Amino acid sequence: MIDLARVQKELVECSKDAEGSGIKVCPKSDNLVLLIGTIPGPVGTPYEGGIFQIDITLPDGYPFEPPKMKFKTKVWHPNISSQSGAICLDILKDQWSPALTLKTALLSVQALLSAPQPDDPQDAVVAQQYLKDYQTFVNTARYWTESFAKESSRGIEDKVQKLVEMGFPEAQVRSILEAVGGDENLALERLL
Amino acid sequence: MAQQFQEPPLFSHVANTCINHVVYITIILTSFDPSSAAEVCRMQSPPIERDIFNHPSICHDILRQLLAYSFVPINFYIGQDCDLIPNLSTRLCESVLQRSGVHINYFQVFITVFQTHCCYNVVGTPFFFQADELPSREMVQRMTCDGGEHSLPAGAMALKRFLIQDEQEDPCAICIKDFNSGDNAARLPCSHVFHPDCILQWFVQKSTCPLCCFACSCVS
Repeated sequence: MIDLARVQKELVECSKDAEGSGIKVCPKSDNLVLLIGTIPGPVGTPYEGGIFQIDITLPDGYPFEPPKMKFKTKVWHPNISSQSGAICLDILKDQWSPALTLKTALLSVQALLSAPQPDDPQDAVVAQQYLKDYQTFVNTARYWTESFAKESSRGIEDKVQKLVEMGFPEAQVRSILEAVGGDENLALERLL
Repeated sequence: MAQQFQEPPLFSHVANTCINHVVYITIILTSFDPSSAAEVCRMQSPPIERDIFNHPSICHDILRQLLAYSFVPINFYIGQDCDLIPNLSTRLCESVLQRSGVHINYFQVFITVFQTHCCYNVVGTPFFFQADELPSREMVQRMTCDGGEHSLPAGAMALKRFLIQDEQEDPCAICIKDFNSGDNAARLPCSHVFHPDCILQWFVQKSTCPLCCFACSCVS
């Protein structure tokens, strides 16, 4: 059984520092098993300016087992599957420790964006390109960021605008959209 | 004196209780003297003893009696804590005698770990001990280290149990709950502190400090 008290504490801790780090975690369901993490693309990388969403599922054995994380936003990176969003990161597998938290795990994912490990790839095509044609890799990664990570951000603004025009308060719209991971229909259901 | 036999005992029983603690207990196997070949043969079919010890409630009762007589609260013990339970075996035998009328002369030692998920690990010894003896600390440690598939987590031996005196300790990094004065705590060789239940549950997977990865493998 998941230690829900600990998860609650983690969510509180994340929200305290959300402004500074840009890292957020929001519950996607009432039972705290499904969550959505958000990380900003690191400065000085092709991912800069992007907002990346990560699906988080907590196993029954959490925190003695690592959380399951997968990119929801499409990203071009050697250690992240361009198709499924699966992440190759040691602390999400055999190097997990119960002293790590959702926030520290997301920080590690963010660090992975800054420092790809092409020798231990999740996506062989991207890793190949990274090693043999680095400039094309950078251009492609930046293009994917513009196309998916920033569009996602603009998409959220569009959704906020729509819902505000329907007469709902903007602050409430933003918090609910964030809580449901940007799903406009789900947000509308909750607002009504 | 401990006496070793080639064949393991026919049966043994462990209290099937969901307790989130490590408990050091003993289990009775026979009221016969194993040093006699004839008596060893009789061990094969001791109907009364088998019936008695196959009954779950007997095990529960024995465990409760054991702990009550020991005047030690249910908590977590490892090898060195057996010194806290003087005359353990004598009291156990007395409680069995009172309850069932069976005289117990020899017993075997087990260490049992009860965990949150109601599973437990058991470390047994092939040695029989006389009723008025306790196994040495070294024996307990060796049992723990050599347990194999059923064993205490290796790091358990490295824990130093203590009670929190003040409230300045950082919270337990595993459950993120503060330590209050009087709480049970366990310190690793690297000096990091956790709740005993939290760190033992982690040690089942990996005997390293969650904070600094210090290897807390058993030193035998």
